[in-house]
Amino acid sequence: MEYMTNSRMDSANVERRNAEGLTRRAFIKSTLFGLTATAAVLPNALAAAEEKEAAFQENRARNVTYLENSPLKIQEGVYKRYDSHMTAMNVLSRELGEPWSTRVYANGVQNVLNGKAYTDGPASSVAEARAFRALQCGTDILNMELTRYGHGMENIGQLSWRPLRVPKGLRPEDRPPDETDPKTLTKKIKTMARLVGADLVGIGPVNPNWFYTRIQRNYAAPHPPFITKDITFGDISTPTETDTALIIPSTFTRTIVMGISLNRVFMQTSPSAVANSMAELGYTRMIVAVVGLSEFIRALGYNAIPSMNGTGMSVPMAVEAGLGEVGRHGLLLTPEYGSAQRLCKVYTDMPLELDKPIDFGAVEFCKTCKKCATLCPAKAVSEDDERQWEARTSSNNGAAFKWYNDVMKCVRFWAYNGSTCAVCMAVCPFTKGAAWSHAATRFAIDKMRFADPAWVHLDDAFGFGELRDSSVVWDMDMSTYAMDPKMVRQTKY
Amino acid sequence: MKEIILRLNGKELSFWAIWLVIVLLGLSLVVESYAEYEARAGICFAVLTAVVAVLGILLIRRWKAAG
Repeated sequence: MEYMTNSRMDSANVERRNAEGLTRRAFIKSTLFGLTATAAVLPNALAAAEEKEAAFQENRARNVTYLENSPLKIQEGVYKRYDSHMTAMNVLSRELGEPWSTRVYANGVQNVLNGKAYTDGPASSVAEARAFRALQCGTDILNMELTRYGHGMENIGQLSWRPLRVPKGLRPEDRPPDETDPKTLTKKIKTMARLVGADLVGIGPVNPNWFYTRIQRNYAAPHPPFITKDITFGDISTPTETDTALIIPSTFTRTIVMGISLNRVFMQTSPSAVANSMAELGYTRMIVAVVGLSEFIRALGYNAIPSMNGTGMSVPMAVEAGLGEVGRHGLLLTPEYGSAQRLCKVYTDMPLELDKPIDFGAVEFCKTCKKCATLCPAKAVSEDDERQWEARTSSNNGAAFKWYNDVMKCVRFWAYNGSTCAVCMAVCPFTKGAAWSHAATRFAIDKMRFADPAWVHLDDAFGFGELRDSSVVWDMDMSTYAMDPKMVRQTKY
Repeated sequence: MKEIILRLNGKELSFWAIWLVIVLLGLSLVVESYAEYEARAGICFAVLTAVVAVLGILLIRRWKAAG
């Protein structure tokens, strides 16, 4: 075999270029043009993430009122931290003698065989029903394999409280942080949060009130199921687990809360398997967000605890991190995505600037609007005009001023339905797309609160939040992770 | 077109400018609603826009007739 020497290659190239009519000057020009265009058109991912966060902050500053103090009220001396052993899902699992989700899945399979999208909702055929269920199987697999919603999975597997793959030499115990300025660190954290998939990110305090007193180990954890561990705070330097407790260092003073948005149209097929697939995708994306951000923090020399649904209540933490307000349905309402997001958080000892809680008129609006309560298929959402102090069920945590929902009714409906339900999220008037008309309405809701009843009637009259047939999703225009392309454009992505 | 515009007095010109803005806003709401899979809202906005457009024309006719 004859190999080309460099000189022969050069002359061959020159001949080829001459044959193609490409002179050396033209070649250099086109190369330079190509490089310049590439540099201009393809900003690197970090810059894009930073830009997205800047656009978010700019938009927020125009449209919300920042509060100096937390809007969450508790009865001092009466309020107790919540025992997550008592969550509706844990109670139902104990009642059934099997994990609640096993029952939900079994009924879900039965629905497919009966040609249904959910127990009371027909699909066009068994094949279509199976395709809906398959969406769920495809979106929840990583969550189910790795983290199981994070509930009872504290310090297990990917949700480890210690560094996973940060190289030795960069771990917090090996080298102290090189950057300690809160402003710089906050910017880096928010950029990284966007980079690992957070659509919303805010920083709040570590408020022990929102942490569970104890957790119940998830049945998927490598522990006997249903064993419990206390969550305590201690004067230690690194997060620690003992036989009986999970100990968070008292040096942990910041909670980074991230919101993962859910496609509104998918949610409006609720209570179907298709809507459930979007929720499951949210959990799968959460793994990347919390694990990625935690490792980033650890590589910078600080400690971090990743948390999905575990360790504490995400909604009040998100409120104190300035992401939104608590709605009638007990979920977070944000100006950007309404009720359609899932929440996850990372606790850290990194010094970060706190975000301020916000008011955009959502709680006031919820007093008038009872759409989630009226349309809840399980009748689990409170229809009270005003928020209360008393719990409704043993799965509620009383002495906090909010609407209390019958969460047991909610979870029992999931088991009956063969799929989780998100009707309250889907019909919420704040769960809207990125149209300017919705932005204008949100502005009016905030600034003209006396007109709230009129907005509720108009929302109904215009058919917003109406539940849809599951098959709508096959023909939708969607972006990566079913993000609404318009929302993506709005945030300059 | 230019002649028609030149024939209008200041008041009429302002009226038609406002009318046009309202109709364009209405049409943009219709388009946005359909783009967002909100068909019923799109129909509602289309009907409202048409009503406003027709009312505008009737109003200016009556106004001109009254001198």
